[in-house]
Amino acid sequence: MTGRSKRSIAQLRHVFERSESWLSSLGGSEILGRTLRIRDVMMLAIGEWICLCILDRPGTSMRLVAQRVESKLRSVEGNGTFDPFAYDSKLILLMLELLTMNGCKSSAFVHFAEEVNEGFKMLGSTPTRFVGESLLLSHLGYVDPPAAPTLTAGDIGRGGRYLLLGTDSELRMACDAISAASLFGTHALNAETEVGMALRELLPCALFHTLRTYDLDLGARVLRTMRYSGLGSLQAFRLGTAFLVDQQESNGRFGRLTKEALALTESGYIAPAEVEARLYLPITVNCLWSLAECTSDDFTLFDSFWRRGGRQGALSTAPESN
Amino acid sequence: MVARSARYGDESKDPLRCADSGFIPAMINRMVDRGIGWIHSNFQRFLPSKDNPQPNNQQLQSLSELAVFCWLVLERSKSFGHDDRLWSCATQVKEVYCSPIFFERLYRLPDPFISQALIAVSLHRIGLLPSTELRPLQENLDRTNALVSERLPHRQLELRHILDAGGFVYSLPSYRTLYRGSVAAKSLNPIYATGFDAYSVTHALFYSSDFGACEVRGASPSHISRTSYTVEMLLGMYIREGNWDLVAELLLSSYCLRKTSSLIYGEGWKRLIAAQQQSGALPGPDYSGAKERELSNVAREAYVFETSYHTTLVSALAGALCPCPNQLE
Repeated sequence: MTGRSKRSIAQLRHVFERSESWLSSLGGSEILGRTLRIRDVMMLAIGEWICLCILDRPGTSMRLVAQRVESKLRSVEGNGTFDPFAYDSKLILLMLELLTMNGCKSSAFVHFAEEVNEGFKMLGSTPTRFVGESLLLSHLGYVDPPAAPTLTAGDIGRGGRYLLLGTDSELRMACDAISAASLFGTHALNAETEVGMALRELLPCALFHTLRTYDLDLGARVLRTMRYSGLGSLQAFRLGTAFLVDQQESNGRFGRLTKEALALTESGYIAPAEVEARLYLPITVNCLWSLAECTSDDFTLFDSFWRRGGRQGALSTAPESN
Repeated sequence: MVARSARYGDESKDPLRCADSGFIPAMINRMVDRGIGWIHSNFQRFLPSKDNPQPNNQQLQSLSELAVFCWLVLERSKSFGHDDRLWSCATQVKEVYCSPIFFERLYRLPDPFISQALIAVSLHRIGLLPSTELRPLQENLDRTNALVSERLPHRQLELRHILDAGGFVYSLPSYRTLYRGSVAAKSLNPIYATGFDAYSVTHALFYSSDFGACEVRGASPSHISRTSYTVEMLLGMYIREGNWDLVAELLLSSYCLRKTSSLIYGEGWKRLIAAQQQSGALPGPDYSGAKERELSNVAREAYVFETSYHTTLVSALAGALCPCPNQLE
């Protein structure tokens, strides 16, 4: 976190400490634990991993998290209800890296990685939308690291329209394309010149608008995208980061979401006991992911496992970090 | 044209594209022309009714806004400076202003100055009211509390602007003091900016720059830089939101700041043009197509007027005064 004052570094550490405390209490609670689905357990693991990286905690803490994932997987694999293809493929591959790094196993995840790898081989070249998966497979030793695709005008809509005029889905699509073109922040953005100019002008507006409408999920994603686009020096980036920090509650979770929680429970969509896991957890992890990447000089989620894996000694194929 | 294509990408499928090289100027002129047509055909709604000639606050506001619109367009627009429809509107505004019931407001109400002065000065500037007719306003200024009543900073700027436009004798803080006391000169966090904040910024810029006729008086280069950033970000946000009233005001504000070369400025114009209805009206933020369809014909016209007159006025004003994208700087 270079370039920040000691006070702001201390404040940021406190943000991650509080969230780490909330996440571990969520994972460790017997009552809540019973309501956690496998998706929740995986999200928890990502969140705890992010906090532990930023706080530079020892690997033993992460081993416990990985073992929790392994245990949950064993129970769902055992009753034959688990289908990894029903989940975000990047999330599954990140989990596989986490497990592998900590000496844990999941045959379903390994099988999934092999099937995805076979699918890519049949395609010949990796489509842009699967660059993230290809990057993660390369960490696991299946493929060579992919090249960053070039971000074109079509990816962000003519004249950047997805950023300024698009629906939330179109904005997400544009953010995904930008993420792919930067290999999720592990590579400088590869973009046509005019496209780069459009990002500089339009991403701040998209960020301000999404945060103002209190769409924290999308706002956190746009903020991360600004970092991937090399726009971390803009005022909008600073204001967006500060806004996200302000959304952390004193217990460590993110989002002032009482209104939404009441609406969801009163409608019967989720049970009151599920509010923490189903509503707050994904938003908290998304905010933590963005804050970690946007305030740290050397953390990017997508290469954090194999970079630390070299120190842990768990991933023998992991290349030396830069 | 090549530079514009490169900037905006392939526009061959853009519904707003025309074949000739002046596509945006032509489309903006058409938008203004249709807007003036709608204003002219709905003109009676701006006036107090014959049954009740004392205007209520809403009518007073819309009438003064119309008067200012006529003044600025007739005085400054190259394309619409001789528009007969606007002259017709302005002439009828003059009849209202000169009617005894309206004129006597100056003597019967405690604080009528700004609303009366906006109309009187507008008429005077286009030659419909001689300067002798401004004398009662000067007397009112000298006698009443118009100069000392507390007002929001951008309302103080409005007062100062209209006093200068009418050549009145007065004592008020300088543009420098007034501008720097307004929100336009401050560092505004766009995430937390309300609609009121946005309107305060736009109005401060309008009055400080005489609607773009001069530089923003009272603003330093760092103020201009900061305000330009705020205006650009707000413009992008309100384009996303589809609030055409604020989009139009922020486009005009961009012109006041001489910042008209950004992608967002160009896109704002395209979206504003596309938002105009067949009738020539630009829907305001409170307008709902679904609500309009529920209403009977008579109620529908009144509803469209109430929810769209201001947006139509300010869009037409912006179109008449602002340069097209990429024509300045």
